[in-house]
Amino acid sequence: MEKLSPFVLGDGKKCIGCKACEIACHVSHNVEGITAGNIDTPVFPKLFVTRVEEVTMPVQCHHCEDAPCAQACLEKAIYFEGDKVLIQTEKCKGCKDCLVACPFGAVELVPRFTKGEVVIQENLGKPLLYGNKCDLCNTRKQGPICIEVCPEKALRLVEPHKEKKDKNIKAVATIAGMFKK
Amino acid sequence: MQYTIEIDQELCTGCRRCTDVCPVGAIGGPEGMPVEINYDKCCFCGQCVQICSAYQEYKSDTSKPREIKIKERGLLESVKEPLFAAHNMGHGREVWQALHNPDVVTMVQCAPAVRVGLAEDFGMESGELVAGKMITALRKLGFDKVYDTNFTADLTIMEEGSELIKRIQENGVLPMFTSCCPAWVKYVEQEHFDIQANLSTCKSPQQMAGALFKTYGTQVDKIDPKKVVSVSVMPCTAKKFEASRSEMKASGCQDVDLVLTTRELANLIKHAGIDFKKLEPSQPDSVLGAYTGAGHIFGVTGGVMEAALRTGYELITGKALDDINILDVRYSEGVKRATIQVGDLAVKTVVVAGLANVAPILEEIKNGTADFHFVEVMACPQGCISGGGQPKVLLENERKEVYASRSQSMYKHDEELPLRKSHDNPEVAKLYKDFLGKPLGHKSHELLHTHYVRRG
Repeated sequence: MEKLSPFVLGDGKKCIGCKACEIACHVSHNVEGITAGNIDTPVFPKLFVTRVEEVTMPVQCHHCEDAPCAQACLEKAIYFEGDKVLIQTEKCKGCKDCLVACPFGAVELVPRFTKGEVVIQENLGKPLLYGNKCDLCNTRKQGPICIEVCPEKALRLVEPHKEKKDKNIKAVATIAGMFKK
Repeated sequence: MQYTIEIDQELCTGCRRCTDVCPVGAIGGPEGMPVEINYDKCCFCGQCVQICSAYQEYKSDTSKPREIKIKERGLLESVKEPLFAAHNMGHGREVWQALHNPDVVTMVQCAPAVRVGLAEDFGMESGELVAGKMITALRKLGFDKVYDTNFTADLTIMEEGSELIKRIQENGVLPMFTSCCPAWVKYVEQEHFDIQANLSTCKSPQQMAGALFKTYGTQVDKIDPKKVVSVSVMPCTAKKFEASRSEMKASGCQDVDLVLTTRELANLIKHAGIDFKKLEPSQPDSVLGAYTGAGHIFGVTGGVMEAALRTGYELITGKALDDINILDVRYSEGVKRATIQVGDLAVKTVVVAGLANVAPILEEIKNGTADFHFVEVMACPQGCISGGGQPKVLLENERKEVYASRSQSMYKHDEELPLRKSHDNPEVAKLYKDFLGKPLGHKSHELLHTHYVRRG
């Protein structure tokens, strides 16, 4: 069977909305140094803590098997690397088609910064933007940092096949229990 | 009125992580709403500032844009780091103005823990000691006199050590509590004023320095004290409150005019375009700058106790300690008790790290079971190295390691210094000889000791 892409999922029952995951995400991807004084750009997380009425939880890329964002990208800047959907940000033209195509709103267009300064497109006098979304901490050995830093353990990595198998086993165990009675 | 600590209602998400770290239960409010501070309880320790992760998003639709918030928070306009909901009032702008005012003389002091934290805001290793670079940076910023709080930490030991011995020998009020931590002092004034006589009457090193800058310091350099802007750099947010206390005017004017946190000093250095990493180290100015290892370890839990014991032992017994490293009082994780034999006297000590841990100790005093002589209390979990004004650790899972590095760095610097006992500080001896007279003398009483005020 085709291996299904893993993704990070938030638990609305546990999330307290502290945004520690957003900070960690930005820091892990952009900041060298361990303290706030090392952040020299606005914070651009790749997951988005969102509140609707009483429920707060982070929303992020599901690394969809049909990757509507990738299909929408005219520049072919979005692609699969193994089981992860990634953006080659240098190719991005800022057309926003990915943003529209994504069912979760998991892609954001953010300005590019170098050495703490925003990069301006000279002829247009406008900041240069690129698509920004969860890459499952692609280059980080220990995997997604958001999961590690959540004080409420409200984030987990969903591995679809394992998830399904575990639930199969649980279902049978429940039925087996009923027979025993 | 200017606040010391505030929670920005627009940015707070109501996650309440700050309520968990607040040692005095001062933060609260309805579930799911932005939290508020009860200023009758708040001691301004700033632990909420350290933990808060609710930041202002890029181009967020808050009623006040980032630029306005930066100004209102007293931050320099060049500050790039995110604005978090829990924050302290900054004084970077005012210090910058003073540094560029030709009509004033600027004097500065830095607390011990600043020099093991500052490097982190410049991308250097956690706990890296930058004592010398820090002094050079302050000179480059344009401070006319670069003194050191470590010097008055040594002086504090002379006064506080003498006070403890006097209380023991003359049946004074015991146990005696340290009074260097302004959050702890405020807490006593608010919640336990009945034990205020147990607090040492010594001012904190910051305020001793402030009082001396505008008296002894100006006298030596023949400067009009009214022209002096006295600045301190502290790992602490409560020090801002302490400096503004109305009784802290021993020199005739406010002894410490402006207090920066370690983070604000980093901002100031960046604002001036100073390449901090490349600075050559230098030494603080005489006559209020020399320090020993004992003064330096004030910045970590157990440090004041250890420094006091190093000096107290010699003052009482006339003999040197076998081992100057008094490990029994180090690394308190809440409450640490020890008994130190000083001549015929078994001195019982308690080191309290974290204001939330002090209640049982106070209870022992109130119910008459307290058998200890001397108690050090620091409001922050590991003393000043973990203070509310220190560089803000971004990832919670790194905090423990960062604090361990800072702590280790404190003790390493102590071990490397040629002098490690406060009474060996030659500038302290000179100060007594030329100006103060003797510990607990008339002039000391006037400048270096204080009284407490019932609050609430």
